[in-house]
Amino acid sequence: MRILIVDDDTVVAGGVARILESEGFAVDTVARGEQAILAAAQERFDLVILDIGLPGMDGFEVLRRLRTEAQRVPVLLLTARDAVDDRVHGLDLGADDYVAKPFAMSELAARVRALIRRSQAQAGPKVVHGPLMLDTVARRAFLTGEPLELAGREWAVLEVLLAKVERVVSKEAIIQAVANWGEELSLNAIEVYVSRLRAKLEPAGIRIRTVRGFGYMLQEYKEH
Amino acid sequence: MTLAQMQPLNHTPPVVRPGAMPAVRLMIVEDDTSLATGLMRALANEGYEVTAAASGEEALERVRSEPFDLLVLDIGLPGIDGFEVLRRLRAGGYALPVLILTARDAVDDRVRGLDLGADDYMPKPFALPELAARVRALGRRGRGQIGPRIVHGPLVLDTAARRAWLNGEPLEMAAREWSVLQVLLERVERTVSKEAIIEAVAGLSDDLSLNAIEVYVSRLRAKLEPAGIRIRTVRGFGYMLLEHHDRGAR
Repeated sequence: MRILIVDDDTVVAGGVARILESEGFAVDTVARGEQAILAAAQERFDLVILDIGLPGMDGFEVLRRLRTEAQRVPVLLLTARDAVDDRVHGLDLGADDYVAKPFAMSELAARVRALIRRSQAQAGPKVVHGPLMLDTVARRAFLTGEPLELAGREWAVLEVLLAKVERVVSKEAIIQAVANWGEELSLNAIEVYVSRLRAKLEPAGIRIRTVRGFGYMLQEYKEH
Repeated sequence: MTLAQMQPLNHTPPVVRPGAMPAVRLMIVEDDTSLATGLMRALANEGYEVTAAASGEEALERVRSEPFDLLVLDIGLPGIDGFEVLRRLRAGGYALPVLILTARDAVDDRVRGLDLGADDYMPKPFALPELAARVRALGRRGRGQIGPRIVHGPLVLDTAARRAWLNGEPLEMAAREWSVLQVLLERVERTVSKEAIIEAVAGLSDDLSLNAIEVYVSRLRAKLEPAGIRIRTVRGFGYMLLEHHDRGAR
């Protein structure tokens, strides 16, 4: 899952980025509204954390432009402006949540998890696929009731595939979802993560199909 | 949800076309009756269909038997508290958006509520315009293009909102009927044993007999067969939802 932070305060942006990265998200940071519009047009993010008081184009305007381009990406406004009017204005422009600074990092992280969950159409904090269960809060996985060890990237790739069961996901889309700009992730690397996932999941009957020259598809789980 | 549906009723009268989304149904779970009444009035003014429950048990009972689009949930309730209500809902597969509205405003409580599956958390005291804006935001998200839908011929299930339509008309189903139908829909043209149905359906509470499953299936048939949707009995084993053919419909 990939998150864009738009904040000109590098201390806040850096702190939030660090926490979210430690939770396994791929995070990119920009300091200006114009850059945010550009980034959102070029890449696919799963969430945008947006400050309002920015140099140049402000956060309200960024949000307005994102929504007129029919971007459904969830947006969390994170701002020092905490008047009720600002909150109402931001939410009615299409924000999904509004958190006033100063804020508790643990609450922000929980709100991020809630927004990601909802946008991935997950009912609760637990994602179940046959014998596989992902606890997205504790970031722990279980296979037929036993704890399953997954490296950070393996988890990220699996999450992408689980969000699109029975739909083909291109390798490029997987890279988009799991790597930020600073990282060069090759198509080969994705193949490695998928083969490690297969080694762990296939014994339990969970299959990831290769769609030649394109990508992968997590198949619907069928009991035997 | 379209913007038009979010407008107060006095600005934009709702236009109900076949297949159009009906009014958003909202339940307030709050034991403080004067607060509940005030909230009901305020949200009804925004165009929602609002009801209230005074305890967690009542709220769970109603969610199981009627479709709701959104819950505004207090934590400090008589009997089981709001956290437990939320936990039971999510454990039972109910995906409707939940906004927690509570006097408990410690960060730990917020994190706990959100991680149990709440979509938003507002501490009391709160500003009514902000609550209304947060409810609008949740309505947008919960009923947007994002809610997963199951389509089977003339039947449409919105699994997030737990609502169904048949030939564009809202279809009323008891919670258990819904669960049985969902199990069958996940396995169209495959036989599902009665035991497997019980296992999938009985999650929320007690034991369920094979006879009870027969009753739910016969109620589903009464509702769906007129639209050409057939559930076949596989003698001594279970049921199979047949693929829908347009010509089969009468």
